[in-house]
Amino acid sequence: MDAGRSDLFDQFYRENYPRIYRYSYRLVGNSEEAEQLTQESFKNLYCVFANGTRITDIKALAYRIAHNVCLNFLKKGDKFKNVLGHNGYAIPLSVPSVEDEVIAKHRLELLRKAILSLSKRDQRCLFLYWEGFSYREISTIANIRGTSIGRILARAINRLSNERQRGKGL
Amino acid sequence: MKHLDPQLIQMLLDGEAHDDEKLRAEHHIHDCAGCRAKLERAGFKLKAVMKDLEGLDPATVPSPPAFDRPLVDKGPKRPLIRVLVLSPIKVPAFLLVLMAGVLIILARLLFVGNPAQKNAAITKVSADGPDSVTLISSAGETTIRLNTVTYGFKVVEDPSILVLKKGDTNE
Repeated sequence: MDAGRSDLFDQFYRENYPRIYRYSYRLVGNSEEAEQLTQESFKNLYCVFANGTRITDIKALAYRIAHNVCLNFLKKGDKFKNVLGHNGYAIPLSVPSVEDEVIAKHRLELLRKAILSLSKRDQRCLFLYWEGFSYREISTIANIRGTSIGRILARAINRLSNERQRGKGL
Repeated sequence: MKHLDPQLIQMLLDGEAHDDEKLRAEHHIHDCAGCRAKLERAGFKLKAVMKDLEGLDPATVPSPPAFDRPLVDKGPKRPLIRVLVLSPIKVPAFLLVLMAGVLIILARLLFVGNPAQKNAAITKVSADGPDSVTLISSAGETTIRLNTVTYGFKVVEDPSILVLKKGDTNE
């Protein structure tokens, strides 16, 4: 790989590591695994870079690789059951009392269950939307038809909102 | 215009609706209080859900560690044996072909007989009657009926050469 391309990769790595880490964390729900998977994703991306492949949208490619790396990891260990279910999830620091903490935990649990009840395609779509991607980018990264994204998101958000209401009523 | 569906509402909230859709929706909600309320509710829901999702984010994001550059393996230079051994698709395919080959050889040996006998050349043909003929070959002598000749032999390459198939000639 020539020096210019190598520098470009290094810059991309520094700037986007936190994003890819956060994305991986959301998918696997564990900080150690998220770190390992982020490294693996960047290694895969580096191989594409070093092979001289023409890349039109490196950011989209990085997320696509990260997504596949995490899904492969989850599939291997049948860890889909644990997605978002790890204890490592942060509870907001502003929670003042034990009772509030229990309620907050319970609400997160409901949210987790609601996300898990979505199809894998809908989860993918929601995660990318959550990451701030446009419909066009989501379509490219997750290989979902652009015209379906609005419908998928509306359905997913509605389901999460209903669970949220249930959590409030407790 | 018909009422706004959830998909269009979501697209409007995300700024992903086409200009013409947006224009028509704006005209519609101007006159339709129901859709106006739906759009407003959907906006609140979206904000609330996205705020909740933040609770699932990691508490801290580590700074990027030094990147350990992998050795890049360029596809065309990979040795054939490595391609066969490591490729998850090629290995089962290769085994399948190998097993099919073994099965075909076994089947031929078990059900068709010795290949040397199968392709035994006919040295003499004599007519025994209006519907039977005797063929003599290096594999031995056999009699077949003319109206079932297809069971007894087949013509290969040179139409003048008949090839016996052991086992189904003496019916």
